[in-house]
Amino acid sequence: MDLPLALTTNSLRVTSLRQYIFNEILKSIFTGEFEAGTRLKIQYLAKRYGVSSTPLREAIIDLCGVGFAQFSLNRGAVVSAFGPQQIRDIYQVRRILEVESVHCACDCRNLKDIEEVYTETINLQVADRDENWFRRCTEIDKKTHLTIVNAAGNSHLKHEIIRYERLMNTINLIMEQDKHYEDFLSEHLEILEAMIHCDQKSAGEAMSNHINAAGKRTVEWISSLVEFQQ
Amino acid sequence: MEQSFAEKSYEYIRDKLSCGELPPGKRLVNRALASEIGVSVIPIREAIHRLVSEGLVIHVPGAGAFVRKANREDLDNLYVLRDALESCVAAEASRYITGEQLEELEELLVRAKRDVEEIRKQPQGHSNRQQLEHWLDDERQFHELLVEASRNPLLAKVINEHRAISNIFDAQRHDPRLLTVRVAEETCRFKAEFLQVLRNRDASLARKLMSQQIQCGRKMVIEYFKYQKRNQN
Repeated sequence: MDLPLALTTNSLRVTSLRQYIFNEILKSIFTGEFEAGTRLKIQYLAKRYGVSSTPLREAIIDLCGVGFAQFSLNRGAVVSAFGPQQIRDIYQVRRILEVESVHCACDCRNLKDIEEVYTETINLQVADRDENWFRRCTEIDKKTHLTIVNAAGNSHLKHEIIRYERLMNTINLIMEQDKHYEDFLSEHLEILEAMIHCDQKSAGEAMSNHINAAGKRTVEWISSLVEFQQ
Repeated sequence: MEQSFAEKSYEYIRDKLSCGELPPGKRLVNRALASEIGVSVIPIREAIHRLVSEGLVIHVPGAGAFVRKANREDLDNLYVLRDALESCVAAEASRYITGEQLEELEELLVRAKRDVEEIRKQPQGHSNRQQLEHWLDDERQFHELLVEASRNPLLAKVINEHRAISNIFDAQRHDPRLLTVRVAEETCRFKAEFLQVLRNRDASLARKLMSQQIQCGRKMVIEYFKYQKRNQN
């Protein structure tokens, strides 16, 4: 099968074996190689990716955590149904979590970290669009959401939000979000600005809009991928 | 084969957590659990890994795995998250709930009202053990139905995991004396009002009511927490 370029490149920067396997399985789900109902067999996958079973099990638990697979009795982990609707579901959950995160963070007295990310984002907006720029954009994306949930100071919320970090990382990398970076930078600035002004309501709305926009971009991409398969 | 052992171990430990036999703060000893269940330590390790991912167990590097223990702040945080998630479910459910699902909720309400009358007959003015268990079962069903009606399986999964964490904390709170006629009546009132809002398909009111209900629950848990602290001192 011919694959879209983004899925064939090996340019993904991999931070850990766990993330690497997570990416690989996810790509196979995106391309339709692993259809709904496919069993994620440890022995087979360990051989396929040339890894031991430990990071593989971790990656499978991570995939289950964000809904791409589920444990079923006596069958181990099984791939869930996948399509635009599932992506919408994921972004709906993320929106609830991230909006709550912004709301809680607005009660935080110390805005130093938020201000720092704000300045960094502004600097990025005016920086040269060189190769480094894209890398810095993905980094600031991660950092912004993490800084907000840290300011929110709710460990349960953080635990939930971090589940999606690995997934968003993969999606950003294989989706070639480059052309959307301009959009998300200005969306982030809107959120951060409202937070600095302690405007809880506007900050929450800005975050809600940001996640909705990101969800829409991803759904469009996934839909084109599904069309491509047919 | 190995997979099913992991599954078996997972179910076993989870049951022990939710009934309170493995209380918060208790260390999970791989080898002891393995011989108890009759499996090797490998599936135990995997089961614990899953429980860590679900937030029921915490892993302390160098010390091992422990049943999650809550302090007041932790409980508060849990309720903040549940409020956000479950009020959103309430709003979504009001959009998508089917006639059949509404009927099932209706039936649970009728049963709850019947339970109130049974509890009223008790001489001490609160439930007995059997009534409490029946009540909690129906409560769980009511919420599961709602979550199902929201039509987002991922949201359902996240909520169920947090309800499971709440259950661990609640296991010690499962005291029939806490289910008084007044508490039961108030819950019925909420359910009746909430059902009406669902029938009217009023998303914003559904969200508001659910949020209030969760804040009520939060207040009760915090009060119980303080009460226990006082009794310990």
